[in-house]
Order: sequence, then structure tokens, then C-alpha cells
Amino acid sequence: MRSLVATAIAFALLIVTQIVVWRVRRPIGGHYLTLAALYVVALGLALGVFAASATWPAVTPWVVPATLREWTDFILLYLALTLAYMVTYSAVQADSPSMAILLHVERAGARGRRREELAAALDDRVVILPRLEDLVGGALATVQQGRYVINGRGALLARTYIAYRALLKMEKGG
Amino acid sequence: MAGVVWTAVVVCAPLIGLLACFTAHVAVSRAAPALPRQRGLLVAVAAGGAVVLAILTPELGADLARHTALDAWGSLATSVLAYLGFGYCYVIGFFNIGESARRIRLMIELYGAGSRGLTIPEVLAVYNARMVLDARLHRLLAGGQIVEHDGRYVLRRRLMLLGAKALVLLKVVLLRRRTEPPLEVSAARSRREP
Repeated sequence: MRSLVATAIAFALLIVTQIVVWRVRRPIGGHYLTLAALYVVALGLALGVFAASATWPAVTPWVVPATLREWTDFILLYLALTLAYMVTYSAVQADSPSMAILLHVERAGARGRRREELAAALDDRVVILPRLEDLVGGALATVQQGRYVINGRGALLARTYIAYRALLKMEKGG
Repeated sequence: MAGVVWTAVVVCAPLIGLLACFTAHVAVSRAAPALPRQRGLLVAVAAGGAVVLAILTPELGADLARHTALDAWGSLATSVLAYLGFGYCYVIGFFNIGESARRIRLMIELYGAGSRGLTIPEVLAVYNARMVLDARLHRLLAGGQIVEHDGRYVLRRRLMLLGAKALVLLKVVLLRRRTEPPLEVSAARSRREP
């Protein structure tokens, strides 16, 4: 139970820290690195909370992991939650076409939407170009004389997914 | 020595479960390509979960003898939650990225072009909003989220829509906006031209 409480404290500190940092200066691209850094900062803050709770004997048995197993459980669960949050944040940062379609259709109510209406709202400027710019902002591609060229990091990621999709015997996604 | 190894297995149960989930997913995808992808993923996550429980159930018995019931069940819950967190990362953060992320598709297209690269019109010739819209409408129809009546799409199920609204709320809290602004071709070029 202590591992669960400790993780809840650490994760809450991560969210609060992120909101504070994002209000001061939101990172443009590279948010994975920033969130990874905040993971470490929030972990440090949580350890500070655990140390401070030593002054409240009634609280310590509920909050601070006591055995090696509890500490490893805490670290692993905190890591899993943070990674899950990073994955979810990517969905927050970029508009999902599927979600946008659902919101557009919902706004139309029982009347519904024609394909042409959805196509007008979700054109290349909304759906493709921002993602292309993300590759440049995320140092996965560069622009050379008006041409987008993948770099080493981007090529590694592309090869990974090509191999992964081949392993699953699935076609190109997107 | 055996005790140390078993302790390591118990501590790493969520990660062992994740490996089992990945292995099961590859096996199911290759053996049953006609199976709907969500079902394949469910089978994979369930397989990984079964492995986690197979490791932790004997340990639960030992924990109940050594610690309080709250601590023993708390340990089990922590490991199961960690596995579910890693499973979520695999399904949403890895598989789904390869399935529907535009950035990954764009990277694959740019990779295919090699050092020559692609201009924006060349990119849009091989991957564009029309293709994305077609793919997403197909998935939403297949998943029963929307239906088509007389050429118009209407909502059928609201589960994904609730997810969409939750994302909008998170956008407002974290990014102070509801959507991202559209990008103009000329703005995209001028930002990056030397």
C-alpha cells in the first residue's frame, strides 16, 4: 500500500510541476526530454516529502516505502505512470484527426456531416503540414533548399517502425 | 541464489508481462491477420496480464503470511498497475503510433526518398489530408463510432467522443487552447529556408 501512496504523491508532484513550468515557458518541440527531466525533478520532490514525513510518525508508515521490494515497486509504477502520461501528452499536443472528426460530427447533431464538410475542415494545413514541421522541430528531419530530408535519428525511427510493422505483417500506417 | 533470482522475477513481473504481451501480439498478428486489431491487442494485453498474475499469485500467498493483508494486496495492486501502465504505453505509445501517427508515416516517406528528400508538393502527393480522412473514417465506421446515412456521418457511440472531449480539456489546462492553428505552406517554407 505504501508504494501506491508514494507513487500517487510523486505523480501528483509531476503534474503540478509540469503545469507550473508550462505556464512560465512551454517547450516548443522536445517535450519528451522536458517531461523526462520533470520526472527526475518530481522524484526528487517526492523524496523530499518522504524525508519531511519522517517528522510525523503517524504519517510515515502510510507514505514512505519501507522495504527494497516496496521501493522497487514504487519506482517501477512511477516510471510506468510517467511514460503513460508522456504518451497521452503527445495526443494532447497534436490534434488527432479521428478526434477532430468526432467533434465535428457531434457539433452537427442529428443532421450529421458530409465527407466534403469534414475534408474542408481537415485539410493539409491542419492535418499534414504541422506534423511535417514537428519533424524539423524535433530534429528528426531538416529542410535543405526547400526539400525535407530525414536525418540519422529520424531514419532510425523510420527503420524501427518499418521492421515492427513487417514483424506484425501489417501495412504502412498513418 | 534461487531466492535472489525469484525476488528479481517478482520485482520485474510488470516488465516480464510486457514482454509476454509483445510476444503474444506478434504471434496473434501473424497467425490471425484477419482478426480485428483491437481484439488482437486485447488478447496480447490479457496474455501479458496472465503472466504477471502467474508470477505474483504465489508471492501473494507468501506476502499474506509475512505482512498485513493491506500491504500484501497493495504490493500486488502496484505491480498489476505498473503492468497496465506499460501495456498502455505499448498499445497507445508504440503500436498505435505505427498504426496512425502521421509523423511516423511522414518519416517513412522521407526515409524512402533518402538524401534527395521531398518538397512539400511531393510529400502531399504520397501522403495527404484526403488519405488521412479516408483512413480515419474507415476506422471510425469499422469501430462503430459513427454511421453513414444518406452520405452524412452521424455519431453512433460516444466512448471515443468522451476521450476527445477529455483531450480538449487537457489542451485547455496545459496549452491554453482548444486546437492547434493550421499551418500555411508559405509560412512553413519561410520558417525554414536559409
